[in-house]
Amino acid sequence: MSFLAFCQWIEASRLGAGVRNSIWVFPVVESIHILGIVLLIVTAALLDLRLLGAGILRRRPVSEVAAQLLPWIWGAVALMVITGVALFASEAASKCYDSRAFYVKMALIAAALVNLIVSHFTVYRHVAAWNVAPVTPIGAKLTACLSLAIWVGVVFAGRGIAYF
Amino acid sequence: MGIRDSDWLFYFIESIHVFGIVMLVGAAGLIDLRLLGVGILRDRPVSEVARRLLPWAWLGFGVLFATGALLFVSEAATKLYVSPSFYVKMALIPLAGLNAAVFQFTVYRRIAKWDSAPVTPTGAKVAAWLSLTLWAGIVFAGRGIAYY
Repeated sequence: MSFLAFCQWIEASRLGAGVRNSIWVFPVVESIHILGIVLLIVTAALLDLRLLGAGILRRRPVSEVAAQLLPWIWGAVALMVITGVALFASEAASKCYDSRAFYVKMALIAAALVNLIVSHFTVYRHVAAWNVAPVTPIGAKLTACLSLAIWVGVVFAGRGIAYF
Repeated sequence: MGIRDSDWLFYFIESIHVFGIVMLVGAAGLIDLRLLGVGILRDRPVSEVARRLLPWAWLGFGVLFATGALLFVSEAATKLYVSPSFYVKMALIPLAGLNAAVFQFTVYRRIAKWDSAPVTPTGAKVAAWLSLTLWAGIVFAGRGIAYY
């Protein structure tokens, strides 16, 4: 099945039709998507700031901060995916398929996940060595800056779907 | 060229408005969770959490006010004047401010007594729930302007 065929199929599905044909479901799902952005960016930024050695949690061990925040981050990701799929289904072929911003957003989300996975298996593997160090390793700073930049890009690209 | 005539400019200001939401609702939400005695900052003194996060909340408010005014100007009469959501949003924002002010001049005045207490006073919890509900309502009403 081509991507276009997939978009047409999901737009014609009960989910797609249900979101599209209701006058209130789309705005409500969109609003929950925005509250999900707040939850995701705030929790990701708290962890990123800690990796930079900054922010309100800078004196706590990195592993403790990560253990406390990661369930929230993944919960926020799940909320974004669920609401995002519902929004996508309602206008997959008619809007998203032709939107450049949509493809930019999907590529950036993939980049954010790759960044998270790579850092988990590289710099975070040796976290015991720098868990409470006043200065974090360059690799930790790099992954934190990448994460912040990518999520900012995701928000811009996401809002851009309405226009481009 | 004005904001209304440029797809690019309107879109850009709208995106910055979203970051303002992240800053304000994020900072307010973290403070509210602390007032409820939960979340990642629950073992920190309330006064420290407030001192560290209120500048972010105010910065977010400034960004939202500035970008919101620009978005308003671009479609004030054509869209906002006839949008029920816009009036709901404009009513909820002062309520959120009033809630914060009432909290500051009542429960927060006696902060020294419960700054690090394991259980926060009922008044603090009520203010926190009101704040979370109002800000969520403002986001819903704000998004609703595009439709109603």
